[in-house]
Amino acid sequence: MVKHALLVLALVLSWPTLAAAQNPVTADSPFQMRALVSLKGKDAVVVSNSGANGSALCANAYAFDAQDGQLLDCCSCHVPPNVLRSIPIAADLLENDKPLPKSLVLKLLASIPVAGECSASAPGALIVGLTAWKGETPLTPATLSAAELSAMTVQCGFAHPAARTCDACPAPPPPM
Amino acid sequence: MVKQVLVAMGFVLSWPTLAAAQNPVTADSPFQMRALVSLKGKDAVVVSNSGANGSALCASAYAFDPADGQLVNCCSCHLFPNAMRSIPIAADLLENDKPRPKSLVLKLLAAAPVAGECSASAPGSLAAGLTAWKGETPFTTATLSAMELSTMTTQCGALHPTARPCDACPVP
Repeated sequence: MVKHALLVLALVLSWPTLAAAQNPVTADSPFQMRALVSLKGKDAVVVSNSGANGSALCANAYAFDAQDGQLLDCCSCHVPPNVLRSIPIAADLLENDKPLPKSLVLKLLASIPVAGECSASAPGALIVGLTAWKGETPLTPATLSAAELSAMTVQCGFAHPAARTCDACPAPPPPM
Repeated sequence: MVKQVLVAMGFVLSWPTLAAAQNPVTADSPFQMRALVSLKGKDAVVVSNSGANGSALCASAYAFDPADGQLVNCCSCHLFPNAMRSIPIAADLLENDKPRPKSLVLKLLAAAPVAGECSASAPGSLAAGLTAWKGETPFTTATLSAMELSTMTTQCGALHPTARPCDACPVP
């Protein structure tokens, strides 16, 4: 009887963890994405920080080839609370790579700065607080698997062995 | 032993309920925001009250400078259930401040009126029921920290020591 009860307890204990890991319940959850078709030269992704953590966050951006799903480019953006950054997709995230892809898959990951700095290939702990739009439409919160997190950051690390800051995003001020 | 395990199970079973209470899973949750680029003179935020509480609510609006994240202005709007108010951003929320910013971060907070009145610097308890749009796009629900709530209301109180109703919102 006791053994059975303990087994049930263990099962029940696992519920909240699984639910928390799987449920992107707010629109400012750490992992968000958009599939972009008919990409134009001036298109931009606009990011902000709701202040959910009372501190700055890193908005890490990853662009993927719409055909084969491989990473095209990545960069990271330091975003203090209530600040807005508009990151041009072609000129900044994709570094003016030619030809401009007609479509791509865009993913954003919100993380805590590590020693005050942001890196899309080595992000800190994931956090809520990121809000993002492309045009009038917010990006879509999604469930992030460990495998996908690893694929994104490893591919980004190959593309940019040193952390790459998005051009639109000033580096954070040095610590006092 | 069995009794202790069952008590522990009861405690653990309450976790999902607590988590659900904390999670703003609906589109009319109390804290919503938009980052606005290419702000135009006639842009407005449209707010309404779904009636979730069966009573009026206060829609407090806060506009932030997109470069440094500091509060630019704030006001509050009393909303009866099913009422709609269109708050001009430049002419009302920003009080025609010149030069008009080209972009800003806009936050909304829904709270119960306090003694029938609304104040963006001293809101009542947070309440569901607020729906808001800018143009055709609804605002985005977001997680509100105690620190951010304090920052918003403190900065608003410094700007407007007495509560400032939005011009578009008649005082009840």
